[in-house]
Amino acid sequence: MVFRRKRKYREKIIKRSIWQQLPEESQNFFIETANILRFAGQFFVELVTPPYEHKEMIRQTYEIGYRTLALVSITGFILGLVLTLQSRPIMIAFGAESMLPSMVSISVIREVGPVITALICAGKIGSSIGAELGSMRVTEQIDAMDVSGTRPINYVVATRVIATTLMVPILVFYADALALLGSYVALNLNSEMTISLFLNKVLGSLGFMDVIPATIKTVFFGFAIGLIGTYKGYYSGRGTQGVGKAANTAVVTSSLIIFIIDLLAVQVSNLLMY
Amino acid sequence: MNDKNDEYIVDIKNLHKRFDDRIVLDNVSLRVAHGENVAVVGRSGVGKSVLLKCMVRLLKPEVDKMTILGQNVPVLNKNDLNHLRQRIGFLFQGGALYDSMTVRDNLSFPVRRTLISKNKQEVNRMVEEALDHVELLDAIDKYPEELSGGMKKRVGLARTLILNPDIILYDEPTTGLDPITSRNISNLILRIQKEFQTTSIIVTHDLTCTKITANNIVVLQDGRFIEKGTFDDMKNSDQEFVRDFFQ
Repeated sequence: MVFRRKRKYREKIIKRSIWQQLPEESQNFFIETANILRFAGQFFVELVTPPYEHKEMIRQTYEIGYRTLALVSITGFILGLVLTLQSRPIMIAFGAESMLPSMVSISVIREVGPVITALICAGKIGSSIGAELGSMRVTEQIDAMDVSGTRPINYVVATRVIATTLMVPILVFYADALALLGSYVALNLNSEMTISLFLNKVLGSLGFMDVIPATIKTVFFGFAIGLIGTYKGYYSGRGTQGVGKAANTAVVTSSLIIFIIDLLAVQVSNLLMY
Repeated sequence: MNDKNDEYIVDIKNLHKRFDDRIVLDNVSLRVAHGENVAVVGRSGVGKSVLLKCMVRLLKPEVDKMTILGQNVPVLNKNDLNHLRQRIGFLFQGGALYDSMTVRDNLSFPVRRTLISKNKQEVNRMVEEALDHVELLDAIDKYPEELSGGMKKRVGLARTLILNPDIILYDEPTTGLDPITSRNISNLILRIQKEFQTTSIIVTHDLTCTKITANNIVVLQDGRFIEKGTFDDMKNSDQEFVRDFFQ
């Protein structure tokens, strides 16, 4: 009994010393990760707790979609256009110009479209949410909600996270469609291809496993953008510097998480496919 | 079992609060009876607002005992804490109005969210009644950015009143206002206390506000209450700092 207690004590000391041996940056990283996970837990609890703010959620969804639409349209179109123009000489060299619509569509739908759109959304939506909530924190609006017992996470966080989770996949679909349009335009700059032939080649090359995993990962992208944006804003530091830092770190962290989700998504979909 | 301490709406014993190495509140004790207006005065940055924030657990207090309205604040779970908070009004220094909402929405928000009433007509009636108390019915459809500093504080007060609180905590209610508006706000605080029979704790360094509103005054310095009493007691205090402050 005494030996067991001594062993437990020794293990505790070792564990503590391992933590203390970590550099401060690593400690901060783990603490931040734990805080984000706890915040996500609070979000899920509030998600199923009434009152439900349908009107605010619809307003946020509209705001997020409307604010990002122009940027996503332009970048989506240019993405498809540039991808096609860049790939064309190589495809011609291999005598595979006719495969160009298939190649572009697979790369756009599977990878480039979702990731680029999500990164744009992280920049545009993530920073905006981080700054908005940060300024609410600085002007004590979040404290005011808290002290009146109105549960700000339910109202401020849940609505925004749901909105981004719903809107990012829709924006990705939209950007993908515009990228394919851009690709079609690029193809017709140098040669001629009818829209029906182009669509035939695009749809013929896309399978179930190209579309579904890509769509599922965009849901996670949207969730991550909303969660990180609200987390950084909700716990922003005091003063204007705090707001700026909240907006900035919201973009940086959510962009990083987008790449991590993308990496995991590739592994999982490859595991399912092969 | 009727403890004598139950007479007190607020009963704090040995409240201690530090930020890193800096001790802000050092074993502060405070008792406030029903219907009493207590002013907490002291120089800027001595921890007056920290005291209020600890009372509603916006900051985590280290305390031997802290009961508000009979509830032991430090051990309350989230749900009970929210219920208690609905009985405590808090007027923030800058008003803390929700800037994306009109005055009407600012006031209806806590009513709607705390599910006191979901009937739109009933909520509207409550909003108009609360705004009428602070004489700002005309500003009902304005946004906070269209309001002056004094108007923001009055709307903030109306938002506090709409939940019909038993106790109101005022954080620097007259800071940044001109002397006339400041006096109007002080008179409003007094009128509200008489009309609604609320208990109030007013954190301020404005002596006019203190004189108009407070039945009792406590002076905070170096993390401790160094003097308690009425306004006249403060002027005749044995302590030089207190006498200087109330000159």
